[in-house]
Amino acid sequence: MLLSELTALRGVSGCEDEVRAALRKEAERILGGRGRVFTDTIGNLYACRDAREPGKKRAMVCAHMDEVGFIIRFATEDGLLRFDCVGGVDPRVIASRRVLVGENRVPGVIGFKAVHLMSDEEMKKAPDYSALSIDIGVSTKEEAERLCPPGSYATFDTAFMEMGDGFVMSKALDDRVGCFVLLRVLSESDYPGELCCVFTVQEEVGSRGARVAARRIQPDIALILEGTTANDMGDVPVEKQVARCGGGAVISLMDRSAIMDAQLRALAKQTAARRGIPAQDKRAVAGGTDAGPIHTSCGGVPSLVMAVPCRYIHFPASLCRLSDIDALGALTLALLEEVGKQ
Amino acid sequence: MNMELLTQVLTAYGATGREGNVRAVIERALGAHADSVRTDAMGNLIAVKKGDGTGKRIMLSSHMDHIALVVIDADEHGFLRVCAAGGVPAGKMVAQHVAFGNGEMGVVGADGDAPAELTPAHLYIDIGADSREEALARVPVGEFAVAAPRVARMGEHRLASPAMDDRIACYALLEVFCALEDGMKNEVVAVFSVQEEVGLRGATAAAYSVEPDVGVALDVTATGDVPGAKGHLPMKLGAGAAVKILDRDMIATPWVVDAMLDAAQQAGIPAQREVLPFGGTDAAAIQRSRGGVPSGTISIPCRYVHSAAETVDLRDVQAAIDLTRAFVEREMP
Amino acid sequence: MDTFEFLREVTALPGPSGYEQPVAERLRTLFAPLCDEAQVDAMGSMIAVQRGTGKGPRVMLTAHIDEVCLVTSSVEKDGSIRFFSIGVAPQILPAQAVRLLTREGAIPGVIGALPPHLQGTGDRKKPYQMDDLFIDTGLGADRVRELVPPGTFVQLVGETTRLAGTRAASKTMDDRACAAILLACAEQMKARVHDADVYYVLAVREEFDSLGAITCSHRLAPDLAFVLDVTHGSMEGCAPGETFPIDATVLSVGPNLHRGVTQLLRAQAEKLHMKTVDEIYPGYTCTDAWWVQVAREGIPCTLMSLPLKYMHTTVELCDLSIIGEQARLLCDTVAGLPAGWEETLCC
Repeated sequence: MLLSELTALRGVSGCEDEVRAALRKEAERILGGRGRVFTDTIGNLYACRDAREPGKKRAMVCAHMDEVGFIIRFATEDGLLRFDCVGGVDPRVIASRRVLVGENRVPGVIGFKAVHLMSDEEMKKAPDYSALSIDIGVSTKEEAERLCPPGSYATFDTAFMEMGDGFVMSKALDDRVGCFVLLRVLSESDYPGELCCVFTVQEEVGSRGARVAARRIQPDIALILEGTTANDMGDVPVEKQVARCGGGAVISLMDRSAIMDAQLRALAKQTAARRGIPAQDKRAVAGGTDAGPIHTSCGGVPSLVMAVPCRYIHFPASLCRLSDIDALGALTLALLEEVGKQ
Repeated sequence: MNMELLTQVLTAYGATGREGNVRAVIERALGAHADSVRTDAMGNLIAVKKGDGTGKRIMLSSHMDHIALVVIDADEHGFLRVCAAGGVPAGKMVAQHVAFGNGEMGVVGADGDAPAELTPAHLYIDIGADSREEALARVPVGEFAVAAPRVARMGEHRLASPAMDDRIACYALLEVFCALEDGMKNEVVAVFSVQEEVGLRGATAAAYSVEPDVGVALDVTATGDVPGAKGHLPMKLGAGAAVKILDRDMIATPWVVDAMLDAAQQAGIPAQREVLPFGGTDAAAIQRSRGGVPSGTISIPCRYVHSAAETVDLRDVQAAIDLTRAFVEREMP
Repeated sequence: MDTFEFLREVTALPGPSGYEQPVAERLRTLFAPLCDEAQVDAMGSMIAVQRGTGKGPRVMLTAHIDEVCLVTSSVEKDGSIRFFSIGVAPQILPAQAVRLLTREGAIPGVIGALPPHLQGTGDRKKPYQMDDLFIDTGLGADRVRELVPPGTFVQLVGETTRLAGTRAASKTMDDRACAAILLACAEQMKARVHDADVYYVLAVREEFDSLGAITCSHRLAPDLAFVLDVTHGSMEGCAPGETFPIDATVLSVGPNLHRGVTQLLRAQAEKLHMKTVDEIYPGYTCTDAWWVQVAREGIPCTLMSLPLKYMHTTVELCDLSIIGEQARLLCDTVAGLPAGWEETLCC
């Protein structure tokens, strides 16, 4: 499956159906009967392969299927849709953007008052959700709610594009890059123990899917594949950059939800160095990931987050480098191989 | 009071997430007192003293970890940039000496242009390096710094150290556990937990695998007995072991509170009631484990919590030890 | 059951978060004659079960029984008592009558604050902060210290009042009005044949940390769950979509809720010609449903809400006829669970 196909799929937290269906087909094709593909009631997708050798750790490798987006709350009398963000979307970056609403992909725009009409005060303030609407081009409440019923989800409408020196631009790189790498792991890994590749749901609203997946799988070790912040443009001093596009797979130290297992992190760094796989430290502690609920589940699970650095993450259009995606894939496979030797 | 052991426990390095050194000290101190000792996947140290099979399993938890600053980078001049690991009050770290796990030492400064309300992002650690390369060669990304260890006796009863939270309770738990006799009714599982300061994480995992019938955390609590104290806290140094009624994370199970207060009264152990409008302890994680576990906390009152000057009264420490012993010897419902 | 009388009795019973025993015990006696079993568990939640034919799912129906409250801390030299709050905003407290739940019984008190004529004009424009307030029992400091040790729980006092039509106002409609729905549902279910094993969970501590919902969900491991709580009834000064008409049954939509389970209620409501309105939640629903959803290996759940005005005050106002309607909706939905209920839960 191509990255462009993956990022085009629409799956806001709580409504990952389209992504799940596509990944399910792909996982079944890859495993071809050599494992089990199944879902649970919250919507996680599992692709599990039995162990080839006894005494090896059960490995859970996961990436989340959901993307940040919006949910429609109601329509105003003039047919504008009021909405809320699902997951962390900065209201300052969504004005003047295109979206697609609901299963029928109703096109809409998040308008913004023309600057000619703004007062000095308004020019100084950032917009917030209560003031923004999605305009689908109708003029009555009835018409708007008929086309886009309250509870419908909306996604950014950003076309996938290759650009610059091996960069891609798209919506939802967080975490379709992780899903992309996870498919590669499912396809290419020779891991001798039980391997459970889990495409989780609802990471962006609190790692909800991962919490239950960890209890179902009860792994001995967990690798979490993510998209992470690269703050390396705009004259940012080196110590505020977090990660650099082109610097390789980002190995996390700690985020607000988990301190990564020290041994696993050290093994990842050594493996990258020994095999010449581009890798870098994540130089920030921020946000939460699926590692949060996984690492304290049951009796505790050594866990590590590894990521592709992405600029403008959680923006309608983010950027990453294909070489970093390759590096993450190579590192994850290599790390699994090392764990498989233990 | 075994001051030598207490000093070792107070001064061992043990940043949250990097508890190896202090765990080794505690494991050594356990000696042959436990029927079994293991370290779990997260690094919790779990020691079991079996009962005679007729009682309940009581999990006693004190945390080994300490709040820290984690190194995430260095600037071009060799000043280390940091993030907080646990609730580090940035203002209180300025001008402190800090120690790293690899033996390096440093001092904490704040950006000259920082606002009055400091956050860890405004802090840096000066380790005497002149360049980014030199700094990160000596203290790589991912090293954790804690307030440099020290112990000061003040007057007859008071002791101050940066790590009272929660090493004083680890010491207390060691004293309780190592004095347990064979053939007790109840089984006692002492958990020296990790990563409490970042969200009770070690205890969450340990409670699941230990599966206790009753849970008790040993921790410190704040006091209202310093000049201009805000918040109307009733706890005082020297008034005895504090039996926690509630904090931000847990309402102690009513019968456990009653049992603790009753045990104190029957044995003549000085005790006080504790209500804390902030903070949490390992007991909260135990209480909501699996299908629920009746739980409470015995606290050691402490002034200046989360500063380098954490101060306790040794009489309260002894009271906490005595009360915990009296509690675990009781028949549990 | 007489809904008004039930509410009058049960909302008055003291049940601050963590100390719900009187409420749990009373509900146990009310559910016991209708159910195969009714017990109070180790965390204090009351669980009752009506077993079905055995061919159906385990269904959990839950409402919370705790109430917002205060907790005392230190006592001043003049006998005034300082306190912390669990869920109560300081703005409604000055002059509020309270009951201190001491070992020797409930003692009356009132929340005092610096009187307006002694405040500067600047102060009078600012709302009272918790630090400005204290409880006055009219007793001397020594007696107070004896009777009211730190950590004494304090209940707010408020009568249950009939208003026009089927409206009523009381303290703790949140969430004992939903406990009323469950009792009415149990009454109706007793007369029905049903495949499902129906567990009524009257859960503790929702206002503090949802401990009841977390632990009961784990122990019962139901196949699906219906969580009942209150939402905001139409009030002035609120944005559209934030409040709901108090004669409506509110269903919930968003990542916390399972679409299939919600659809079961929706379809049944249509059959009953009941008016329902959707509340959209982009994430955290601030109810026990948040914790039920991720218990064990995931429990598909939905949230049905009763709109009430003036939440977390002692004059929470709702429409009692909704209680009967929601009970009917719930009973019919659960008793009428289709044979293919498992497919409803699949993703």
